[in-house]
Amino acid sequence: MNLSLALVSLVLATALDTTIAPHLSLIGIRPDLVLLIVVATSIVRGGEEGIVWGILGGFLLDLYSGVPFGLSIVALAITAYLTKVGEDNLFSHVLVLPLAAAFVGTVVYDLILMAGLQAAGRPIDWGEGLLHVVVPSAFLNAILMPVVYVIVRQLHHWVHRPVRVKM
Amino acid sequence: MNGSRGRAGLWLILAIVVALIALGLHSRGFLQPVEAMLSQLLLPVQAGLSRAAAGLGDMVAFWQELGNLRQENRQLREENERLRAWYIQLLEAANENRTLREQLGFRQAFPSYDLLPAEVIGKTPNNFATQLTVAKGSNDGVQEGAVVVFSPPASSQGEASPPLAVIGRVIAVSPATSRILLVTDPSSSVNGLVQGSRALGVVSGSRGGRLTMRYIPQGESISVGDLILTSGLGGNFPRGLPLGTVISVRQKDIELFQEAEVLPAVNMDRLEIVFIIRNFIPTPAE
Repeated sequence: MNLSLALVSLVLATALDTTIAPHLSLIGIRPDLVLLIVVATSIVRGGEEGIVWGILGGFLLDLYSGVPFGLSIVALAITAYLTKVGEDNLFSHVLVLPLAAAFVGTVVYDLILMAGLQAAGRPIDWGEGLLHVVVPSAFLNAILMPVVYVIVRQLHHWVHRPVRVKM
Repeated sequence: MNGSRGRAGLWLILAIVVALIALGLHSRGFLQPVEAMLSQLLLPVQAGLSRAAAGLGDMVAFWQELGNLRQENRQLREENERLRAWYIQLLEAANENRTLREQLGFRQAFPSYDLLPAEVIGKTPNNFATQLTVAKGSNDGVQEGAVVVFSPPASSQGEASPPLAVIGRVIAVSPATSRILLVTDPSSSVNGLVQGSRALGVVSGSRGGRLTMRYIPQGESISVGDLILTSGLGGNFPRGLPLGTVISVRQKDIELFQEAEVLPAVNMDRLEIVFIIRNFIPTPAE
């Protein structure tokens, strides 16, 4: 794993997530760039490296996120792990996998955030959250995923050999 | 495959351990130097991207709103006329109030605020919390708990400035940046009152950038169009600052309290500059 690539990519993605992404919102929902990068990395480089990217990305997000610290780390790591499980067992088609991973990954990520916020004592309306935040967010991230996936795959191709590195 | 999934499982356990350690370190303040360093490092990047994003946001908003421009224009003209008349009445009331207070020897009701302008350089990177990052921090005299407002620019004719509107309050400070919890965040709550009837309630953030005023006693008068102000109770916010306007009221006779949906006085999505009140000290929680 190239740690420099991970840090530079994730710091830039966090900066974009806090500045550009809010202006790309539709019906009040904004995309999750760091999440998409972690999911794409899990597909391109394997679940183990995806989890490490999730730890780093989650740490950066938690510095700005307003959720209990550590929650983004857990949410991204679990999402990266489940992306690997999904790839191994469910989706192998090269076109379907990134879209499905982005959709399901967003649902998992948002549900973990909502559960963590509720455990921390914040008021959470689960029905409203699922209908007006989680599902639209999953569709928005799935729409953006092809672009992010191509960029991430090309980036890793430039930096690494085009094989999975066993951790 | 089982071997690789086992290794992935170990990494997942490690991630959870790291998260718990990070939570512990953060709660004890040990991560503050890291936050401060990263904030300082990212400040010019965020500031540049934020300015570019403002232009992008205007372009996106333009296309989104194109279809509604004519109707919105008509509504805004009507609202402008109504607000002008209301503003003139307020000026008259303020003048009369000042005269009466001078005659009675009262101290000034609204102290002059030390307003620090702060550029918005970032917003929360998720869909569940509503916070801003601004490019002012402890080096500029910002303290945790400071109230943040938005002030429309004063006119060139020398009229008195329109009232400040509440944005939120500072919840975290580093040397060069501060994080602001907006009043539209679901975890925010502000003691409010209805300007006309003086009915009290608690205003908290709700979905879609709206506000909800709860715990309004049954029998108190509140209706669509009423202005909601900060009550000053609890000491976290100054008294009399606008929060928003009532757009709907939920009232059932079988319930103890009424609720009202409130449109915030400021569009939180378009904030580029906010103002931090440096000389209002919130009352510490007991």
